[in-house]
Amino acid sequence: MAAGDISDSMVAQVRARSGLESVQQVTDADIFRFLNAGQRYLGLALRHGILPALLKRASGTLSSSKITLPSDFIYEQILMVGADESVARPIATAHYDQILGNTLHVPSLDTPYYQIWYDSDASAVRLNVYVGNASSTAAYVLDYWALPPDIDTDTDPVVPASVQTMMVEFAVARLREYQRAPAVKEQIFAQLHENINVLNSRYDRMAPRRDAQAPSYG
Amino acid sequence: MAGEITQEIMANVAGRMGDPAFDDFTEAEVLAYINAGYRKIVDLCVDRALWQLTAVDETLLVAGTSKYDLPSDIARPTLVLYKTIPAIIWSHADMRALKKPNANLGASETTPYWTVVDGDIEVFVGDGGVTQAGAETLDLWYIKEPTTVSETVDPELGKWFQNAVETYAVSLCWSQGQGDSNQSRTELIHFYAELQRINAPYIGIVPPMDGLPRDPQLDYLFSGGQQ
Repeated sequence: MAAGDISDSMVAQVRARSGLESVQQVTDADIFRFLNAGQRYLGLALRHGILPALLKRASGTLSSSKITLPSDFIYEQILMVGADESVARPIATAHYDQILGNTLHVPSLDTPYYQIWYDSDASAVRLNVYVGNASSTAAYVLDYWALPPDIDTDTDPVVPASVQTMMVEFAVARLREYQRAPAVKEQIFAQLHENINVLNSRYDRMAPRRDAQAPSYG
Repeated sequence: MAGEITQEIMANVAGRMGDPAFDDFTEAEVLAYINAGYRKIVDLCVDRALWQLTAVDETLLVAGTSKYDLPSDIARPTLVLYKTIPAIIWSHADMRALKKPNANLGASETTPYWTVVDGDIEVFVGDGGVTQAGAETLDLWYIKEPTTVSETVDPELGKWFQNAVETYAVSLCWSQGQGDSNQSRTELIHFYAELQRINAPYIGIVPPMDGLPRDPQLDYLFSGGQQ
């Protein structure tokens, strides 16, 4: 299967589901926009365990105790610093003084802190790491939740097949809006959210394990 | 190309209103609704979710001057550093305590206080007032208002905010353009749900996100999705 074949198949499914089979009715570019919007929507709605490709890792060395955020960064999950990979704690920007004079919160390579804020020197946002040395070049590993890459006719989605189906649902809902049928769109969204809830429920720690009992009605 | 993302958002909003040619809604109207959406997002999102709108305003201190202009694009302040020392925010309503000699507060160069009045930051550093030894600064860390987007200016907030802002603009189109308040309200509920998902990782309402998958809660299906 060539790169982009899955994406092309998704476009065809959107066309079939919406009854808009021809490019005279809706362009592929429009449909790809809806599919990509759906992928971003699901990237925020689904649990990390369902979208393993979006939990990404960046690594390198600090530059003056700072990290340039990856271009697809949405939010951080774990930051590890130094040869021992000490897990850093986030610090509220408004409570910055907490790590300046409080003897219980002394930043070091063993107990690093971090926050994300605009950096005047870089004229850009940076992840600022506090290890007790403002010019630190220690190694870091940053695990973060990423923006899914857009799909197109040459690029397949990184999300699994079940989520691709949901992207198609989302795109069909958007097309219903284009067809001035917002009530139908609402019905599709309701179904989409049922699917989201069911998929997410597997990651609820109170969820059952039904393989621990014999099937009934046997 | 600058403005491409904004143009995409405009096209999506107009398309979702069944008006791809901008016949019912002008480009200027749609842009106004999109910009209103970004401002609404700043109001309703936690600061950490708005890391792309963080800013620092560095002002050279002037000896004897205690008041300094707030930046024109400020949405809300977060932190003030007086000569790199975090200053303590003080309620303007409790000014009497700060103004009178009070051993408990003890405003000084090393224990600075600040408040906001008359569009300015006012710093309190005790007797003698602000000093300047060379190039010392007052640094304000703040969340800024989003830059107004246009067909040549893209939003600062990432693409993961795009669905939300489109939905907010669609809500305004329904209420102001065609006067369907029910559909407008429905879109607004979608908008709030989008922002809840964006805020969720920061406010502790999300259950464990990974781990060993269990079996699904099928009640979601058998109850007709009412849970």
